[in-house]
Order: sequence, then structure tokens, then C-alpha cells
Amino acid sequence: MHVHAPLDHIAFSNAWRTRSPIDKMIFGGGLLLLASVLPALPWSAAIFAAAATAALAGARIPVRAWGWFLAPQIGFLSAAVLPLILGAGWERAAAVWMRGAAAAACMTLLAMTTPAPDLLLAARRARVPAVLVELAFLVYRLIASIWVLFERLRLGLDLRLRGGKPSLRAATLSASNLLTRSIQTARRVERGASLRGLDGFPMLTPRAETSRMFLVSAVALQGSLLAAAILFRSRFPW
Amino acid sequence: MHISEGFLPLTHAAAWTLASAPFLAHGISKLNGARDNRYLLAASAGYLFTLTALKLPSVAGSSSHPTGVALGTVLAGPAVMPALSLIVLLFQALLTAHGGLTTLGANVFALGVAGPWTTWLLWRLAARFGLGDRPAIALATAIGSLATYACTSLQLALAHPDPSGGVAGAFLKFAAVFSVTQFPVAVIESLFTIAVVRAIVNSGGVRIAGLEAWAQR
Repeated sequence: MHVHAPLDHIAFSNAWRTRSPIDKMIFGGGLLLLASVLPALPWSAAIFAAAATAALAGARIPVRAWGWFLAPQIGFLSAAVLPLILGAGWERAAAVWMRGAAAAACMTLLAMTTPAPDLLLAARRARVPAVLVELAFLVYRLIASIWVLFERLRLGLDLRLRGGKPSLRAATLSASNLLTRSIQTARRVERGASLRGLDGFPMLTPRAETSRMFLVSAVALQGSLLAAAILFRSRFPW
Repeated sequence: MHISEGFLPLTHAAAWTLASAPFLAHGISKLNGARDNRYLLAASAGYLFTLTALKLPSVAGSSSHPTGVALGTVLAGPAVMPALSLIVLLFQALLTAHGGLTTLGANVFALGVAGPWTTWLLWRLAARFGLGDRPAIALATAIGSLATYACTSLQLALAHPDPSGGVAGAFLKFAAVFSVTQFPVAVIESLFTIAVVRAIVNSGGVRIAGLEAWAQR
């Protein structure tokens, strides 16, 4: 199993799979923007709840998978705010933590409902330079192959050393082996794609139309959060 | 070194994105001229993805890991590194929850601009002053890796200045916390880069400018 298999599987199979990536980017990106600008208390909690509800109830992502992807982000965030507690005080640290958790939930929603190829195609339609998007497609295809190579090399090293710790020499030999094989694989993938006439964007993804109903709901939710934050500005200052 | 999602205020995130933009535009224009080497660039990016996925949590708003910056710079050159970093960081955010989307500009600046250009300048300077290939690459890798983390520390310090020590005080705090994990990682990465570059040059599969004679030694 390669590094992004579980996430890819969910991104390709959730209930929002057929929705337009533009719909999902406006929903998730808008919430992410609000998480960055609104006061952390209480709005980060509201944004977290909205993103979680959309992921679990809307896109029907399994709770376990959602938690598995979100937990490391929250763990990193918790470690990250420790110096802030000592330096800037616990109130600021708590605000950064809440804002970070809400932003992580928004990013999780976007990542788990939208496969990377859909995002890349949307980026191309938004006139991101073709050469960058083509390279990103090639890298996306390669990551899986490189990770499989990496796992095989690690297994080979483990078996040779019978579970012992590898020396720096053994580790670097494996790493250089991985790189040279990655280059060979990349060359084959590119040649194979061009022989099949797939130069450019060789991924088949269904082109979904944007849903006016979905967009209106997304903007209404984000507008309500913003309006509430302005209304209660005296109680929860910006 | 990737700054987590939501850790930077929006104005800072936007400012770092603007700062990265000209380097990124230059990198993309270089990619246009390197279409024949696309597979090599893609392999380098995929390799960087794997290398930087081996992360250690760090109590400084970020994480520690081998940056792969020196290897990427030696293989692809510093000019295309912002574009490669953007692709690697985007996939890391979307596929492994490492880094973030709003912090993408800041992370590209640290990993794709500060680190690669420091590495490249030091490598060239060391070569000009007659330092051997191996010491030059080791020095450039170690300092380039530390420059990446110094840049991240500065980004965090500007976003969260210390109430008493200001930006300088916060920078020292963040840098001190990073140094616990990053100094040993920089030393190991420099040895690792020498060995990997040597193996690649010896394999004959990739031509690296400035190191053509290395294979024969």
C-alpha cells in the first residue's frame, strides 16, 4: 500500500465525488479563509463543526478515515503551540491552536472529497501554466511507484540485516538506488504516455458541472458565519 | 520545516506568497525550456516527496526532516526548485496532511528559494575557492538545510513575535528549538547527499554540471 492510497481511495469514492471541484473549492476554501480571518473564539469551533459535518454527513466519509487523516495534523499543531504558551501566553496559543484545527478540518474536507487530478485539471482551467500542471501530473503518477520502490528497498534492507539497524553506507546506497530507479521509472512512464498519445493531461476524470444550489448553500453558510462574527463583534472582538 | 495549516495570519501567508511569486515565475519559465528533461525533474520531485515525508514533529510550529534541498538543487538547479517545491508541497498537503494550503507560499519560499539558493551559492563559492567536490557539497548541504530552517524560524517569528524580545527574541527561540533536531539532521543529510550524488554520477544515468570528473576519481 503506497503513501496516498487510503486518501486517494476516499477522494475517488466519497459521496461528493461527482460534484464539481469548483463547488468543493469554494466551500472548503471559503471556510478556510474564514478560519484565517475570524476571531478564534468561538468562530473556529463553528468552522470546525461545519467542515466536519460536511465531510461526515455530506460527503459520507467514514469517521475513522477522517479522524486518521486529521489526528496527525492536530498532533503537530499541539506540539507547535508549546513555545507560544511560554512566549506569548496561553490565550494566544489557544487562539492559534483553535484556528489551526479549524483550518486543518477545512483542508481535510477538500483533500478527502477532491482527488488531486481533479484539482490539477481545475488549476489548468484556471490558466495555471500547462508545463507546471503537466509536471505535477507526472509527479502524481510517479509518487505511487516511488513509494512502492521505497518499501521494497526497505524490506530488502531489513531482510539482509535481519532487523538490525542499517549503517549510513547501506542507507545511502539504498537511497541512491531508489533515485536511479525513480529516474528510470519516470522515463518509462513518460515514454509510455507519449507513445499512447497521452502527452499533456493523461488522466480521465468526469467533468462535473457546478451546482447552483450547492454554491448558494455554501455562500449562505459562509455569509451567516461572517454576519454573526460582525454582529457579535463587541462580545468576541477581532 | 513545513508550517502547519492555519499557523500564519492571512496577511503573512499572502505576503510570503507574493515574495515567492517572482521566483516561481522564473522557475516555470525555466521548466518551459527543460521539457526534454521532464522525467528527471519529475523523478527529483517524487524523490523529494518521499524524503521529506520522513518527518519528525518539532515543537516550533513545524516539523523536522531531511530537506532534500541540496540534492534537488544539484540535480535540477536552483532556478527550477521553486516550481518543484510547489508541486511537492501541494501533494504533501493534499496527500499526507503535511504543511498546508494557506501556508504554501511561505513553505515554497523556505524550501524552494532560501534553501536552494544558499546551497547553490555556497557550492559554487566553495568550488571557486578550491575546496574539493565532497567538502563543497557537504558544506553547501548542511548550511542550505539550516538556511531552510532559519527561514522558517524567521517566518514564524514575524507571525508570532515574543512579547518581551520581539521578532529577534522569537526567532532565537524558534531557531533554538529547531536546532535540537535539525543540526544532527543537517550533518547526516550532508553525508547522505555526498554518497547519493556520487552513486548517481557513477551510475552514468545522470549528468550533473560541475561534477563530470567525479565519476573517474
